[in-house]
Amino acid sequence: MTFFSRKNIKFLSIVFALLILISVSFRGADNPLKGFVLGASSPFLKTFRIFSGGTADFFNFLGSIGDLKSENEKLIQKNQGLLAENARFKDIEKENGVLRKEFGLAPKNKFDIEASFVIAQDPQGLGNYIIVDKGNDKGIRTGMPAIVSDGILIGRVTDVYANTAKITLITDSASAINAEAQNSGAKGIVNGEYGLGIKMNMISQAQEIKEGDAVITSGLGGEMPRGLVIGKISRIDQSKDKLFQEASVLPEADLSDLRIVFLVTKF
Amino acid sequence: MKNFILFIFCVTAVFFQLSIEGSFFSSGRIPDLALALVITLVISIGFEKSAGWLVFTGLLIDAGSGTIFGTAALAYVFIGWAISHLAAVADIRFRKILFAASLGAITVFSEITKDLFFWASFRLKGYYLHQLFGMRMNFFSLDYFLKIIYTVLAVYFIYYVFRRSSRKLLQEPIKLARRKRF
Repeated sequence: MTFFSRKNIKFLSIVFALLILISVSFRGADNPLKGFVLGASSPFLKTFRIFSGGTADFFNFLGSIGDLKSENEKLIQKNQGLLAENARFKDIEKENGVLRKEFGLAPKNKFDIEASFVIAQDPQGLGNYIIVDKGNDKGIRTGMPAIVSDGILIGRVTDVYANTAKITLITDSASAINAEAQNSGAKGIVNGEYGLGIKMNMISQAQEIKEGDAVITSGLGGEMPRGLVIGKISRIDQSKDKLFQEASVLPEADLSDLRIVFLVTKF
Repeated sequence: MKNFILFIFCVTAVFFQLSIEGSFFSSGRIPDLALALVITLVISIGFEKSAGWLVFTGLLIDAGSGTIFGTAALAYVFIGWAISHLAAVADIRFRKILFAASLGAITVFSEITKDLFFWASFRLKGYYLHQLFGMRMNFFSLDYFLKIIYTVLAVYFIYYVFRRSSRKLLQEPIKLARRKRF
């Protein structure tokens, strides 16, 4: 078989064409192409996602029937505790309002958010990200934080297309977020690890942190609002050079099965 | 008709991988349906006839990935070309267990090759964009092991479905890739 067989020539010409495509794709030059393909497939992806979500829920339900009774009892107890706590918070909110009025402080604004539907997620499981059905058309910009529920951070917008956007999750190794432990105020940087783990690094040795402490965004740098919940500290270690402490953090949100997320457009 | 069926196969595999699998598999364990299809196509119809479909599938995956546009297509074309040189696989198709084992081994090597392409792509992107944190790969984790196992099973499934549908829908079997004898 000669090297210049028909198959090899076809292979080499495709490789050559793809290398040209790759070289022009650097520095975001591929965004219009990706945006076009994602825009065209967005309705199908959305439909598939809704269908798969329903099916997965059904199987999860079947698998969890045995645990439902004990879980229900636990939830009733938890609910009673939350009702009491809620009543206390309402009281504190009222007091807070009165004090703000007394001191002449402006009322604390909540974020402006844009609800969006998750249409696709990382197909390779290498970088953790999702794709949502809101993009440039709804004023989405790179860097906007993405949250679920009432202020649980899940990631940040890293690429924006015409009507879709890519959110890099906090578990991605390329993600770096300024954070602090809520109780002690110890500051650090939260990075993602392979899989679903996250770590809080660069915590000063002088600061005391405990397992179970909530980790929130510190708001340093102005890229994120302060106080978004990231997770809870599950383990504390020393960094390799022993200069800093580092903590494993359990994400507060279930990042493996996201359906609807909120993009913080203004804070 | 044949092209339309191949188009449906490619689009369905990619849509399933991008949108549906995440609901059933945890991150890091998602089987690579597109790669499974690539392996099936090359073994079933040969590299030359499937090359266009490998590029098409790769570009669709690239659109939904964080990689540089064209990386998956390049990885799939390279894998397809390499598989096409293993002509022995086509010759042992009648020996079912041996064929299944060869298919499994090809899938494992293809998956690792593809992930190395992706890893290189992320590193290159990180280097040129001066990103502080690059992507870390962990080939020796339970997640990665399970991902490979699931992908091998996906190859068996897709190969079976593809062979069956090609017989039924086309009224004639898709011609198998065979070793050229010189």
